[in-house]
Amino acid sequence: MKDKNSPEDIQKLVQGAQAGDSMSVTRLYELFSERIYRYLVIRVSHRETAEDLTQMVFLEMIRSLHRYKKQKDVKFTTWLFQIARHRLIDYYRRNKTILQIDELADTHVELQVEQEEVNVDSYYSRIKKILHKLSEQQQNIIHLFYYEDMSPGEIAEITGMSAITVRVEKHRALTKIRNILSKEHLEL
Amino acid sequence: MKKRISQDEAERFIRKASFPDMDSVAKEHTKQVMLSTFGDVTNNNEQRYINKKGIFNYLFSRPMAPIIIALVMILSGAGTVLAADGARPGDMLYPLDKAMEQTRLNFTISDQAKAEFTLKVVEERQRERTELEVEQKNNLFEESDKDTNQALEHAQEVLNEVRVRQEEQNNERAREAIEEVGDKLNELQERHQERIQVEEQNEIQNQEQNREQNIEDDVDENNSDDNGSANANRNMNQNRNMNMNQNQNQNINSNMNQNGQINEEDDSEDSNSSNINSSDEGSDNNGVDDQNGSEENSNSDSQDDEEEGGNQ
Repeated sequence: MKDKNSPEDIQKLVQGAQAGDSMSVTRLYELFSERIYRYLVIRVSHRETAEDLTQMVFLEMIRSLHRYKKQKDVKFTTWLFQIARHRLIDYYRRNKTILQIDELADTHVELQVEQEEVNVDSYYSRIKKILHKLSEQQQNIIHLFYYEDMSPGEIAEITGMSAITVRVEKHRALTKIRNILSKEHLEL
Repeated sequence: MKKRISQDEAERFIRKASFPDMDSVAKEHTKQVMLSTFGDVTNNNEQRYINKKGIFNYLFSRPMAPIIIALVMILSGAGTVLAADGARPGDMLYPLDKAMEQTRLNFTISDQAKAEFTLKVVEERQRERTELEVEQKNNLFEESDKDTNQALEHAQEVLNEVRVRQEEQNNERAREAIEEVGDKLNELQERHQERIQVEEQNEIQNQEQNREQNIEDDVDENNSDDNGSANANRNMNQNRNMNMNQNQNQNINSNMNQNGQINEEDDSEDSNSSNINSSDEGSDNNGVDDQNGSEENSNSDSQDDEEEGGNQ
């Protein structure tokens, strides 16, 4: 999902926001809120949690906006997804115990609770289950590569890896997905 | 039967997934919260710049910074150039002063102004030289004279060039002004030559004075050497007198002629000096006898002095 607006337009909006223009901030929110929400909701599997995290990401963006400078071709999109990733890591750290219980729930029926999944297509449910079997880094790479149409270089900036490592990890993740799909005899 | 999934099929499967949209109410709520926070953050940032970092940092965070820096550089540069204007040989800014003069000359267009400016430079060099004399900075005279010579030569060159040009243009008025400058330049040149001549004469006089002083010093040194030898002789005579006194004590019944013979023998033989030295101790012991015999030895003393003088 490429930016509909050109990088120059986004840069102008960022400069307007840095100068204190609330309209520019509103426009940036409209451009990026859904993308950030999607990035978060597939990872946390809970809509309200994803909404809260999205709010935290944009509040962090507002507070850190004066520190953002366009250096070394670091795009605003990349910078914003870095914030989202950091908030997600914080969330995982805080909810480590909860996640461990969720893992137990897979094997213990009495611990299982129905998660709210409204208006979600079957593909989404399937892909979410498959993605959760990948490592944290591989989930990031697959999402950013296939749903945000980012290059390995951009993904490397967000994840803190090298572009080559991103390519290798993407290939491994894809092989893993192929194996899972083959194993489960899923109809495509 | 396990079905093998190709890479393209897997990628197509991944891309097919459509994500749930964010709840519209939640989206609007988040937007309002964000805008509210944005207003607070913006105000806080402005206040933080002004209150915590001070007005200086606030100004430097704005596009005014390059203007302020440029102003400071221009003012400090102008101050340095102004300070260099009064520099003299030996000062740090003196080379800058000369460079600025050359720059001003290069930017002067009118021939008359060029001639007048070179004249001013010569006057300044001579003024600097006078100041150095007042302050008695003798070590800088040579450099100052050299610069004055250069300024005079340069002024003469410029004047000649200008003169030729004005003659070609038949500009009578400018030519008169340039001639006036030329007269002043000649006057300055004469003054400079006179100063150099006076200095040379002074130097010659100083050298002569030094030479005379050296000769006088040499003469004084020779005299002092003579006095020293005379004193040494006198001491020798005293010792001899003491020796004689000793002999007199030993031969109390001998007469004055015998003492005189002994003295003559002492003068002729160097080996007797050891006897003279050894007699010092004897004379100390017989101090009372020496006093008694001093009157008796007065004749022989005077004879010895005369003999020593004759030897010299």
